Amino acid sequence: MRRIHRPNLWHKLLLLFLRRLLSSEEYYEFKDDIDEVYQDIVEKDARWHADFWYGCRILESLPSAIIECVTWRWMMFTNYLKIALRNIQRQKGYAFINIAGLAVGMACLLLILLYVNYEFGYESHNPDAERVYRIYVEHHESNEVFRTSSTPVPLVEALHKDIPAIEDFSRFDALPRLVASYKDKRFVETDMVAVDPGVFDILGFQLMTGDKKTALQDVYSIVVTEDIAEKYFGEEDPVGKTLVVDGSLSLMVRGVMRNHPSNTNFDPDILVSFSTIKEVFGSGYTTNWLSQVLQSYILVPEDHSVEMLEKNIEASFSKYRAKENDERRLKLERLSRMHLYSIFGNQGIRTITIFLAVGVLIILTACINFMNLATARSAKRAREVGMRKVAGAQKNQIIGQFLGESFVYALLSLILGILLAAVSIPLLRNITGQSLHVTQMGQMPILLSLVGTLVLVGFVSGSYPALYLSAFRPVSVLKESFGAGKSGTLFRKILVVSQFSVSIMLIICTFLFTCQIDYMINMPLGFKQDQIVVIRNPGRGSIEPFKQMLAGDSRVVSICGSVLLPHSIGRYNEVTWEGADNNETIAIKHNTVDYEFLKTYEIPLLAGRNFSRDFTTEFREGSRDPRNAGAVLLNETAVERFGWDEPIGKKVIQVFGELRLTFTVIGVVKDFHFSSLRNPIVPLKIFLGRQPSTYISIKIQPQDIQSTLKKIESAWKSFNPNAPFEYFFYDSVFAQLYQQEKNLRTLFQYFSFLAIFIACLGLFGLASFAAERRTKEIGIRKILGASSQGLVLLLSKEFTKWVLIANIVAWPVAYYVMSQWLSGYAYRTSIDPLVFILSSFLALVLALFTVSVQSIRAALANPTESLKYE
Amino acid sequence: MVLLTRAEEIVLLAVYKLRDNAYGVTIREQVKADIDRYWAFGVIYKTLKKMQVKGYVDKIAGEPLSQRGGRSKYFYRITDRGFQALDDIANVHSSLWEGVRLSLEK
Repeated sequence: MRRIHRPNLWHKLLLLFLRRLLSSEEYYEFKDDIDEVYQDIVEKDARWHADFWYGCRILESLPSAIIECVTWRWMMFTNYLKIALRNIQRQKGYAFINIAGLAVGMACLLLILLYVNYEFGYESHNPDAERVYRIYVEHHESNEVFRTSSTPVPLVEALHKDIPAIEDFSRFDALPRLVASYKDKRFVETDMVAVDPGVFDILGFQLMTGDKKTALQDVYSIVVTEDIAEKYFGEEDPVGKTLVVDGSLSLMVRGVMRNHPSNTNFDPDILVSFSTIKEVFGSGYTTNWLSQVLQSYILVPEDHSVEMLEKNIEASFSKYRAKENDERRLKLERLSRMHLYSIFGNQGIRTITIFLAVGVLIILTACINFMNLATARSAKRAREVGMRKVAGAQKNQIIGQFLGESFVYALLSLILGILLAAVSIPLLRNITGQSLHVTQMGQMPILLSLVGTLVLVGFVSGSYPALYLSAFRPVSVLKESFGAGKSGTLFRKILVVSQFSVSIMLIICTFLFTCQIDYMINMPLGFKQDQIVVIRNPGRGSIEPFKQMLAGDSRVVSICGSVLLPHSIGRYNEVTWEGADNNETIAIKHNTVDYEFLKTYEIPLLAGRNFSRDFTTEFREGSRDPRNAGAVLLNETAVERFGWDEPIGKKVIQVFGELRLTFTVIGVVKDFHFSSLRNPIVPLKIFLGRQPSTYISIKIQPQDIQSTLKKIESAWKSFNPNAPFEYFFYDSVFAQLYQQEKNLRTLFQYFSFLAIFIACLGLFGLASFAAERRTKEIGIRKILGASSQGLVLLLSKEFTKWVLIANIVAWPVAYYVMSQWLSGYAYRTSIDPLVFILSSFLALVLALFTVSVQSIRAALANPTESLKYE
Repeated sequence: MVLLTRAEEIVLLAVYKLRDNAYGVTIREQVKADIDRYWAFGVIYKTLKKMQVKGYVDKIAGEPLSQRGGRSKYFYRITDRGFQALDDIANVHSSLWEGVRLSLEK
């Protein structure tokens, strides 16, 4: 009795491989033959010997099997390729629809990928981005949480001392605009920050010259970027040179750092050592645990538990809490998450997700074109499939052929798509403001996703036609004239409906973006922003002399100074108020202004009065007495929050730990929007400052603006000869305020246009196919007396139905998506049903137009011609 | 006249000599006996396939065998064209070597 050979594992592997290469007959012939010899050897010789022999026989036969197999496959492949290219050549219109659609889709996706890649690249130049955390503060109030990234000055230094896990730290304190000079060179510097020496490791700044340990150690040391060094010192060696800042402060350059990449959130021009700030501001600044003025960053070991660290920080912080009911909690946010996921930012990840989804939808629309046209026109290929099958082609070979064909299309479109994308990069750059460049296409993640897209597109668009075509029975397709693409029409309808759903959805989104932007731009803000010239004042001190200089001029209506402009008031501090329960405190925003603020911005008073020059005690902290620290104006929301019926004369107490400053309410202003309309109006208090002069706002007459500006400039020159005259019109700020939304809208305009373009291309293909298929029918109908209009209607009716059905899908989805998006805005436009109807109408008109081009041609054709056709 | 390649010549001669018992294993053994070297199975099958396409050999399925899991053993038999090809190559050989006398003893 012969034992049956049971191959061991590596024999099995080798056989498996061989099985892939050979046809089943060849394989079994080979296997049975060597099994036979194997049995003989096993009977005579040792088992291992036979096993070894068996393995060797397979191995030595592999090369010839491989060569054989590759040769045949290559021959078939060249044949498939030839057929595919011939088909493209023969049916140029059809190939154009497929390739153009796919290419446009791929170009869109590629551009979106570039955009996304750029966004994800934020801080990627920093090798430690995963180990760096920003500390932020949470205020918990009854049922609301206020968060701010501003932290007390001494916090992070103390934490570093207490907690060993914190390897290094840096504060990041943005300094106001200051004039810096070197010899005769004088510029306003807008991007100066005070930082600790740890900043180089923490924020990934790279020093070209200087030592990162010591460069920012000493008082009056600074580090500048290459550009700044060039600007002030030209060819000279900047290290050791001195910049004079703010007229009196001499700062020595101790190092030069590389210019920052464009995708970073941190791009200061000049780093000032923190010890300088301590020296200038004194110990009152560095020991204040209550004011939250700057950002704090820490470096911790990799894989250190964040919760653990937060606990340690909490424990350490409790030692320094200045008051009993200090409700502040310290939390951590990872540096690498700051750009896209920040709880403070605009949640960039949302935009990215939207765009990726749109890109995928557009590509799918293009894939659907391919599927539809390939199956609809299957009659053209049916004979070929039949012949191949008769000649012995296996079903999976046919599948392979058609899949391969769709890959050829995908590859051609990819090449075209890359070209299209390269051409349109400047457009995207203009819209998003990112410094995008063609070379970024060569980055690994982009290349990989392109290959992925190619495979996916080839597969998605090729698989259905391949399965559909390979299932043809040779007998039926070769015998009779094949009923052209009758089966699968339902599936095709579903696909067209989904294409138009996508298009209609995108159109609705674009319209609603526009509505929301218009709504925000046209919303009355509660103050007037027209004809106001704003000067950023780099100096300090009273601006009264400047006001005096322009006082007599009738072209100047009013001048005011303020710490912040009315559209962006963002500073918080803690207050309690007369009649608050249990000394309840809340953080509310504030601005410090002078007497003319309300007048200049035309903010109406609802009750009480404005600040008055008749009283000297109204200045913020004007007297030494904390119980009478000055006067304050509140907005309506604040009065409502405090629950006062009669606000005038009531007290508001600002809490600085032990220090409690009491202010008297003298007036209530009407609510105005002092931040983006994304956010609701919150309580606000307005103080009178002695010298609030960060911004000087000048309301002017609308006539003869140029000469008014000249007059203002000459007054400015004599008031502050050191500072350049830099101004802007306040309403230009509002034009930029909703830039993000506008960019989104512009991109959506393009995308929805492209989506509907691709969908119409597909529809055009289907319509021309339908018209061609019904040529005879139309001819007969015409002879029997059908009118041309009637025929156009007949041919267009079906497509119209599809587009109408698409609305049923598109409307609820668009409604859901847009209400999600709008919920991010405190002040939002209502979703107008008219938008939906209009979008659908637009899609319908475009679809009808596309279809009618074909239908009219078919309907007008001479019936004698069409009946001759075959 | 199309000449056989050397590999075809060797395998076809083996098939010829084995008559009714020419299949993978025996052909390989015959080749070994003729040229004193074992050939890989793969090479033998490849050559046989080529000759089958050219019409020098026929491939015949034998009775299904239980040792082979119910599959047939495939036998090869030389065709008339194959026989003709052998005849041709033999003629070529003899005319090539005619008058050549290599002195093998050193």
